Amino acid sequence: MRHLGYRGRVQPPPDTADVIVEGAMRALARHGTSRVSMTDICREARVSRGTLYRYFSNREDVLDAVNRRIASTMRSSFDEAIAADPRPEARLRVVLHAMIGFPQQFPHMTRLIEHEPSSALAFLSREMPRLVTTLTEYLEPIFETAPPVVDGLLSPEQLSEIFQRLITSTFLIPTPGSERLDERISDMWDSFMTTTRPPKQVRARSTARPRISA
Amino acid sequence: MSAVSTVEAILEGAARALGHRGVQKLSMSDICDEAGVSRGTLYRYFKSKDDVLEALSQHVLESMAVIIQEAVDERPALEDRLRVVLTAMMSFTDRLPYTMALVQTEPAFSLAFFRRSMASYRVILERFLSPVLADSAPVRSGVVTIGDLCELFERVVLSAYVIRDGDAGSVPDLLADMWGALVAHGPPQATATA
Repeated sequence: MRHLGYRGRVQPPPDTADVIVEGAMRALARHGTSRVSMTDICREARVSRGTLYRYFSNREDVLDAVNRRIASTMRSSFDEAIAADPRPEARLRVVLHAMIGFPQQFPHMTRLIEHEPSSALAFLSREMPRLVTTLTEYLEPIFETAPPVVDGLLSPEQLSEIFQRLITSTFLIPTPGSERLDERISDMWDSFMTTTRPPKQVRARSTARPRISA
Repeated sequence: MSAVSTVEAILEGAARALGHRGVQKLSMSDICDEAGVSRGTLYRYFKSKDDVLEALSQHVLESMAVIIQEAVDERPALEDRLRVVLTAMMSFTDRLPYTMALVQTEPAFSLAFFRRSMASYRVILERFLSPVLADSAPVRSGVVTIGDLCELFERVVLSAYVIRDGDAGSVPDLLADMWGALVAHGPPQATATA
């Protein structure tokens, strides 16, 4: 094999890295995170070992690229959804709706949940903080003024985590109608927000005590 | 041993055996070995492996209802209700450690169980939470039902069972605090209706 120096290096098509990441996602779905090998990735991506190693030095490197791809897909679907409806009062609804559609964007990950649930759960447990951080960037503008945050009970990140867990639960535990859970969550939230009184005028607890209905 | 404790020993043995062997390979002999009962005893109570697994699912659900009831009896005040119920639900995995072991060793079985039991869990939660949710803005305005709200709480806690990153344990408090603040600052509670 001829050693290719920088000068002699044949520039592959610019999307080879993408092809590898796509293949890696299929390989992951088939073999799971702990067992997937560079050989599996070559096979699924239909690239040679030489090509694979030109882009990624090891397995971890590829898995990182997969995670970055997931994060960037998440961001662009949030960005697109918000651009289509930028109203602040619609923000939660728009973002949750984008999230609940994720499995369609990552069919391989959906297969991973079905066939290798332990890998899927390990992945989600490991990536949870990062997913929540991304989600918080998009929801912080509305959460900053939300009562649980204003009262100092929850941080915007913690509020985001609740919503992240809710939507993720529909991927892991789908039930009839759960594909529209985003709407019920948004309806619940909006019914509190539409006539929310400014937090400072309300003494904590004064209305918190639920009335016992007859 | 009484019949009840024999059945319980069988079910807990079955859960442990399930953890080692997996659903496919699990046999009635594995269950006998783990439960420390004879084949005769096992077959007196259960006809087949599927019969044991069905009873195990039922046992887990009933235990959940008992654990929540105990917690509510101990702290019956309605203002604590949501926190008490969700904390009890979360503590479930400590009270029945084999359920947590199953999530790790047999995640597919566990997720399928949650999926099947979703509605039953919701009914249990509704029983305890109706008095505190009935008057909330989302229910009164008719946009969601009490059952819908219970499902939301249930899903967050279930997600904390299976996605156990650092903050999973604080999920019941986060939910109770979120709900408390929303109710406190949201539309006023209804005054007495005709």
